[in-house]
Amino acid sequence: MSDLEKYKLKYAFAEDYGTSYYKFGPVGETPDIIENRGIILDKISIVSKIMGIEKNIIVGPEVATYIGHREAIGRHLVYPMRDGLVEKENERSWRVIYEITKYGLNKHRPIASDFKGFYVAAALSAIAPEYMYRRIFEIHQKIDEETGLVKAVTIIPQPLAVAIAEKSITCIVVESGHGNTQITPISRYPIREAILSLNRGGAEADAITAEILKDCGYGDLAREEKLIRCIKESIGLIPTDLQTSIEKAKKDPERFRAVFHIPNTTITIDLEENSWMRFLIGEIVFDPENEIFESFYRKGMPRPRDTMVGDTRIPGTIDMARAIIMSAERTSFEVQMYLYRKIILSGGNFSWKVPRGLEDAATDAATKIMSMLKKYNIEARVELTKDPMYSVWKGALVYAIAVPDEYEWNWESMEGWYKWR
Amino acid sequence: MSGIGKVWKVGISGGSVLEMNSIEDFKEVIIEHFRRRGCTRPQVDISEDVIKQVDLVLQDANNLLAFRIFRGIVYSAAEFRVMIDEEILRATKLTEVFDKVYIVIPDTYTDMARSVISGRILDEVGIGIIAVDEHGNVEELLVPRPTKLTRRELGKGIEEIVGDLRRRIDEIELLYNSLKTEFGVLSEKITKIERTLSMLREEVDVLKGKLSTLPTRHEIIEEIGEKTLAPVEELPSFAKNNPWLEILRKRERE
Repeated sequence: MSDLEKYKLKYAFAEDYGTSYYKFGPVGETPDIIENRGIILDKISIVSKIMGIEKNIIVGPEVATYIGHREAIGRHLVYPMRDGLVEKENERSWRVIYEITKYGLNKHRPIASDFKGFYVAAALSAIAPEYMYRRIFEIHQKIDEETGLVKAVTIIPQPLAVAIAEKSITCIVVESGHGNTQITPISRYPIREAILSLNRGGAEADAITAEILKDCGYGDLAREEKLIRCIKESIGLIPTDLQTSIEKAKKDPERFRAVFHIPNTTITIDLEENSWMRFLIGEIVFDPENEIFESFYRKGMPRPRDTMVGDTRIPGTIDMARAIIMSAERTSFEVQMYLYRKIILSGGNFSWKVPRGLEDAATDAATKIMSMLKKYNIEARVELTKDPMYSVWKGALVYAIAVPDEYEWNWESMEGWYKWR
Repeated sequence: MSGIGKVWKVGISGGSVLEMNSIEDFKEVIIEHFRRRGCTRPQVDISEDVIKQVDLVLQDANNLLAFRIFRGIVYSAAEFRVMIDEEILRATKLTEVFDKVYIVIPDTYTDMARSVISGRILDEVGIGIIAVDEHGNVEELLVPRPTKLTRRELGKGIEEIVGDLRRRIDEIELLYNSLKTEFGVLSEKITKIERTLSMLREEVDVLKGKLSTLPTRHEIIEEIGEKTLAPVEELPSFAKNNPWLEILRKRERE
């Protein structure tokens, strides 16, 4: 191993810019994690000045202490990423990204005489546009000029990072977050022409949860986003087969009864005879085209927007199996069968529990997709990433360790190290 | 500049008037003076261009002596300074050819010479000054220091350089001939390689065609990749035995 490789192994650093969380850290087993958000104080209050606070952007764990009433949150709290993307002209968001990145690197500044800066691999959404790449490079360069903390930086698409963390060379990575689902076939490289992005994710499950709450008489609670998410995670189920599961639930409402008690309150939500509806929460993630959802769309629940891939319009409500097949079919015929041998599901939108006693009607995300693909005569091996929270970060770190120093950034292959010194 | 008082010979008479009739008289006086010291007419050929620049040439053993007679008529030290400076410049050029160069002045200018000429500079460049009075008496006011490279030594040096250059040219010719031979051999080899390459290309095309009909074996490669990787102690657990390490390390070369 050359001295340069040893150095890179010692000072590799990975960053995962997720919509909700920013995961970061040098070589190790797990990363640090903070929420991907910041508070921008347009005017520093007198109290803050007295407390010795000079900065006007707050990121990291400190943010929680600044959050006061709701109005203030709306005005000052910035979540820079929406579905993994930052708007080009949204300078407030880019300021938060800069502060978060600097916070992460500074936190791990080594005290060593041989330290000349980190080799940073930053993971971004597979559909991140070129301007995001450029801004991320600029941010790291600026931080380096101020602190000397970055020797070189590279950017890795998140699905590729997942494949690397899973040690899988030929596979399809399906990453589903809050508002977006990306299907990325990989065979040594991400097959960019075959990447398919759907405008849906956990948000659709949140929306139908809110509708169900309204239908069941809890309309007043259906406005609190965080509460809706908690309820969704607690009562939502993926049906093995929607029709059969609903029938079972209707026949035996007590066994499937969905009850949720909001911690530290006197409020309890009980769906009673409507508990079969909990299967709708899971189903919409995988098949929002099912006719059962039509009544909800008519009532005003937003229908997932269509996506354009080249000249082809992909319906926003396309079922997950069909979307995976469409993506796979954009790759060469030969590689398709190997892609189906490993489909990796990653992201919070695939984390569904199967409560004890309901195994006959509820299932997990991997089994659901496998059975959906079977309907299209596709035999596939589907699995959830072993470490849904950190797999992108882990893959990015392996990428930083392995990509050779002399491989300089190439805008065509979108690989290599971006350097300025 | 303080003048040449320190090296100026003493005992010359001041206020003498030039009564010599012509340049030829001057030459006669100088020849007679230096003959008594053993100097002769030059025994070597001197080019006409050089002869034109001097009034007289004599030979003292191995040394060639050149004489330029100062022809200027001046009435003040300022005028003398201008003219003698020009004379010294011309004489300086002659030191490249002659071992000693003299400027001959009438002794009436001796005092002016004392005040305006820098003896140190003339000593450096190897120029001497001779004063001649109306009676034909010759006085060497400043004895020139012979230049270090004599004419004959210089010629000898040139011969050596020419000899060396000839040797080098011979060596270069030898090298050129051997390179010419090697170039021929190499060009033959390149032609052979090109022929082999085009044959290989054809074979690769055939193999490509055959391969496209066979199923790819990604999984087998993957398994081999994992097994052949040497474990690296410092790596985190998820990076150990990770087939991507090798794939990514080869990225640029691919």
